[in-house]
Amino acid sequence: MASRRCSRTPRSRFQSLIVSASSAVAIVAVSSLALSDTARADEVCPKRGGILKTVDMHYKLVDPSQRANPIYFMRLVYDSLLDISEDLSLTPGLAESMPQQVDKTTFIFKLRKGVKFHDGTDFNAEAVKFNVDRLIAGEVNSPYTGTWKKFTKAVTVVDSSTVKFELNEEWPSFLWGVASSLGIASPTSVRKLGKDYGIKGAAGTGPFMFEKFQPKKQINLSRNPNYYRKGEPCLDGFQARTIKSGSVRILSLKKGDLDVINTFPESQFPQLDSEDSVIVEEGKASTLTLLPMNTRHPALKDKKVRQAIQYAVNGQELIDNVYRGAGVMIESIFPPWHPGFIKADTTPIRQNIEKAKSLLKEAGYGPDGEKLVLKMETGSGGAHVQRGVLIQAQLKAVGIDLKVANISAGQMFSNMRSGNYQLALWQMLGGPNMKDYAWDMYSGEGGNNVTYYNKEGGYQNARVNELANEIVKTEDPSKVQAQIKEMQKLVFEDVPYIFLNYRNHRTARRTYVKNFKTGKLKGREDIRRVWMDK
Amino acid sequence: MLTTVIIRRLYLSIPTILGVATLAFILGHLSPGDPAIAAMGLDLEGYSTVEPGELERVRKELGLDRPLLVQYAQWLGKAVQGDLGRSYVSTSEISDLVFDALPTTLMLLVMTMTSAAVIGIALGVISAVNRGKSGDYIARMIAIIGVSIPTFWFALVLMLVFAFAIPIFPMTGSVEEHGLIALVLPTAAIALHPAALIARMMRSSMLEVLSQDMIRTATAKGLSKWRVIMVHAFRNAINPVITVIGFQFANLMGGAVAVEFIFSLPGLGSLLIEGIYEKDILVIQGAVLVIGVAFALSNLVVDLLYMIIDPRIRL
Repeated sequence: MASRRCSRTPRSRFQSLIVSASSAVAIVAVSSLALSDTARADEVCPKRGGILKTVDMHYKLVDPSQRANPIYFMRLVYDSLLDISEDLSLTPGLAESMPQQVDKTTFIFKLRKGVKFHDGTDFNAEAVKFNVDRLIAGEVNSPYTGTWKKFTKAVTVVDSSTVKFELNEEWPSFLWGVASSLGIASPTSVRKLGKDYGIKGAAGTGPFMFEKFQPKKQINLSRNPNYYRKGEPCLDGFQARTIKSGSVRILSLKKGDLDVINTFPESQFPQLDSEDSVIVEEGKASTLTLLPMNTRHPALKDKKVRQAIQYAVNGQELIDNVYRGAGVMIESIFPPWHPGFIKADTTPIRQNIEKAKSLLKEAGYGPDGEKLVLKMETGSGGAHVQRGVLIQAQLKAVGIDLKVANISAGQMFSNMRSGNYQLALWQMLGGPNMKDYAWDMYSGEGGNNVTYYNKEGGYQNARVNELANEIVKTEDPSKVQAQIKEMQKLVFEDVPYIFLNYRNHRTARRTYVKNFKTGKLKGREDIRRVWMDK
Repeated sequence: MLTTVIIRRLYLSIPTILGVATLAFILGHLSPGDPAIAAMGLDLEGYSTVEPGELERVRKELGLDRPLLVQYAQWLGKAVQGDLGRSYVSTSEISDLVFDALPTTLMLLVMTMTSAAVIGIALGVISAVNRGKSGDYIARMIAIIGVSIPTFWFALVLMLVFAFAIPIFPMTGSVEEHGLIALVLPTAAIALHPAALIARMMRSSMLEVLSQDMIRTATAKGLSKWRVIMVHAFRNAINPVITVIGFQFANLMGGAVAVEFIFSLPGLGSLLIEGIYEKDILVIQGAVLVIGVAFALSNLVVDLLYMIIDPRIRL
């Protein structure tokens, strides 16, 4: 067989040289990119691997429409268009930038390209619309459906990476709503699994992927190798199991069966604090503790009675004895970390026994008048019982006979909603928006206002209603400072709630768990950059 | 003969099971709370905002606005076909939840009852045979301590010693994860109380039989002590103890609930308590129904045991 030899002309040799040189440059460039990616990854995660083990408090369905406890569980499998940073500010998440606000009720989001769901399908505008429609339709029972239904007029797919939100009316905390309650699930997986979605499978874009789930028992997740935030997560997996007993949770942490716990009995705090292998951190003033009062009740409708109860209680005693120092007194209708916080005159909400007795006497109760007997509902856990006992003693000191009923949180909530209660010991976790702590609690239309303050049959203060409606119209507290100051003065005088204190939240973790920062709000930890040195 | 008895007893248990189903339905609806609240996750700490009308919409969706008789008839009609519905809270199939939890509880109860029976019977026999001697006193002391110690406290002590201080056994976790070793400490915690009761019953029954003429006759005939005790005395003394064992099996459920809580075992007890707490009515109904059927079957097993041990007994 004759062989053919390629002859190389000087010109073709030059071309070959150019091609070779170009290839070499290209190879070096790609390698550099890869290396720098790896270098970036190493900056993100000093060490990779390991499965973080923690406690599942109440995870009933791996669905983005659900609220979990701790809240960060929802951010493991799902992302939102916007991210919530450590300082509670909002940054782009699945959206490539903050939305364009066309007018007061129209927002346009440009979405990140190239993001995939865990099932391999594309994240796009259709997926966003699908999730909003699903949430509004209430296909899965969600605490967010009502709010989204109320405010959303339409969600339109402009193109595959652009989505437009049109609202029925101005929703000042819309962006917070998007960040905190609109997780994005894969429409393909949702349709495929139907009613079993969130139980037998789930697919989001989040840092971890669904492996195994037993409702309220255990969840196992594995690392998403294609997560859009390069280099994250640092961990190979995440596992949470239910351990109802607080003591057992602590023992498991000390033994090393758990790496992190978000909730434990305050009475066990000294034990943990002295443990060398455990770090305990505190987040300030996350939970507002207060007693809603039914102002439709004949006695509680009287402002003097409510003021007397406020003067009788001592929130600091609860902080010292029940929370073991993990709390702060109330100084504003907003918590200290909230942008709307303005220190108020707290004299009307601090203990003053003599004033309490004098007001009760004026209202016709006390040694010379009628005996005031009231009933307070509280939860059935350890801290609830302790608080109930303390408050009962504090009111007894001024002559009020307080009966305490320890019931389930669900039953208490139901009673408050139906107005079938007198006082209730309640805890509230709001967001850094103007709605939760102002309008929701004091406005006649507030979804969280169970006191009937400014509602039919309850104690009325029209000025507070007006102020609440003004405050909620903006997310910029500097524009409504005067209104906040006035409203605080009025509600601290009217006391539709007994203002007790803010409870701090604590997390405990093994020393080898790194970069786990206790969230500013309870349960809002970000574990994408958590790594373990073991 | 045995087959006939089994078929007849199963047939007769139908009204019992129907009664249990009705009771489960009533209990589910009588328990305090609103299922719509748990279904929407509004019972979680600190979260309470809900738009007007939402709770009513969810209640309607869950079918809770229908008359109770209609709800009962629909549930029962589906239950006989094996469809126990879906949890209001987690939307999981009730049958999945219940039959996932059942093996853990059954294994725990069987292990507990077996341990309690073996230990209790042995202690009782030793105590009776050594009446008035140190063996009797030691056995009786163990029995008294057993009935006095609260199960919940004992479980915590076992965990502290054998899962934390000397980590031989797992502290928490399922059988699926650790194997049967996960049930050793829970079994020990629950078994102590029934073992003590069985020991006392066995001792009493053995003493009564040992004082009978037939025992004196057997001894006079030159039979060995072992044969007299285990073949003649024990066989006659065991019947009332089997009755106690049968009753104890039902009582174990209470202890199992507390122990499942401590050791975080994913059993029926935990499922039922959670269902009650959240007023997840269908979970309550499904769990109570399955527990009721399990007990009806366990009673049948006990009765059959009677027949095997003493062929004179006819059911």
